[in-house]
Order: sequence, then C-alpha cells, then structure tokens
Amino acid sequence: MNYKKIQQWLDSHQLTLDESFSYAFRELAKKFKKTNKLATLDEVYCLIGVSKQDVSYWAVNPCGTRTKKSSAMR
Amino acid sequence: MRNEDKKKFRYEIIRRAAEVFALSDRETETLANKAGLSTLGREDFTEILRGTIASRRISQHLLLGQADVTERMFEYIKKGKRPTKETLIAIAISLDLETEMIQELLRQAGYILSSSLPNDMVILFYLREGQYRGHRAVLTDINITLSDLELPLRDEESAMKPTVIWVSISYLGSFADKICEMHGC
Repeated sequence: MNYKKIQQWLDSHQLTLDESFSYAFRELAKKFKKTNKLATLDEVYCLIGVSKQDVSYWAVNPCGTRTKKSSAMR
Repeated sequence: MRNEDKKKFRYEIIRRAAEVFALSDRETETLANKAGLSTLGREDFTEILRGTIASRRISQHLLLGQADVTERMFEYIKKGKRPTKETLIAIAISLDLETEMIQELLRQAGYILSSSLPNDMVILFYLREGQYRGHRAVLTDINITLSDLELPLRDEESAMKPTVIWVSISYLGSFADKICEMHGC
C-alpha cells in the first residue's frame, strides 16, 4: 500500500475517502469513555477485547485485517 | 492468523463494539461498512450466488476465465466455501452486474464495497466510470490501478498460488517431454 500514490490518485479523480473504520471506532470509544467516566481508552478497548495496537494497526492498514495475534484471540 | 480468522476477528470486534456501545442495528451496519463488511450476510449465500450465475446465462468456462478464478476455487465456492471479497468482486463484475447488484451480492456474503477503503474506492470508481465499456476492460483497469497503488485485488494466497503451482508442474512436465523427444528417450 503506497499512501502517497493513493492520495495522488484520489486527488486526481476528485475523490475523498469517507471516515475510516478505525476513526469511527476510536470516536465511539472516546464517547463511551466520557459517558462512563473511565480513565483511559485502554479500559474501553479492553471491554471490547482489542488493544490500542489493534486500533493503530487498522488506522495504518485500512484494507487489511490484523496479522499479528491480537489480545482478544489469545 | 489465516484470512478466514482475520475476517472472523473483525466481525467479532464489530459485534462486541455494538454490544458495549449499545449501537442500533443500523449503526452497527454503518460501522461494519466502514471496514468493508456487512452484518447482513446470509447463511444461504452459496445458493444465492448459484442462482445469480444461472440467471446470467454465461458458461462456467467463460466466467472463470474472465474473473480469473481457478476451477478448483470455484468448486470450493459451489460446495459452500465463502469466497474472499476480492474473488466475489471479480465474479460479480464478470457477470456484468450493475453496481447496486454487485453491492447486494457482496452484502449477502457479508461484505460491501466501502468508500472508506482505498481499494474499494478504486473499484467503485471504475464500476461507475466503466459501465459502458464492458466488464473485461473494467477488471483490467481495476487490476492495473490497484497494482500501481500497491493494493492487491485478489487474495493471492488462496486464489492464485494453486494455479501458479499447477501451471509450473504442467510446464515442467511438458518441458521434460520435449527434452526426452530431443534425446530420443
């Protein structure tokens, strides 16, 4: 995946990507954290069974799924 | 983690997120769509795919050639193995389905072409732009662009390797025959 080329291709075709899964997921987690007065996002992720690394991986690799064993699958 | 496991993991995350965040069915589907998935997949998808293929009146040989799907993979699909999203897209385009019908077929398999994903955006662009040029041209354009952007169209591990290996063995076999002919053995 070549981010620079992808962005150039999207720009040249006047296309904009919609909000990503990782961004939407993080926003939901932030809202939940605030509503439930939790200290960190890690606590929210833990309830779902993912780690901060999983969410970061999705942000960097939007087309793929996690390759490294996740905490939820162990 | 195998591709099937990775997909299950992502579905599982979405299911748990829906529970914890108390999302409605619609909100859950929207979240899944951002990952190129759908929560509306059906158990009887294989039957739906068979029916769709039968209704298009295209020979299996032609379909597999256009979609670049091996006969072995197609047999697996017919027996109930869910195709990868990329394979299903290639089949759907080769069937000359409208974009909305492609989305519906994908949805029934638990996938969706998402405008949140760069590879799906490329496919959606060519489906829109190339609707009057024929499926082969569209597939070629999609493949060239995805390759150029270093975004693979096909699941190479599951779909392509068996063909490559088979071709290599057949090639080696015919090569050995030629050598034998030349040397009279």
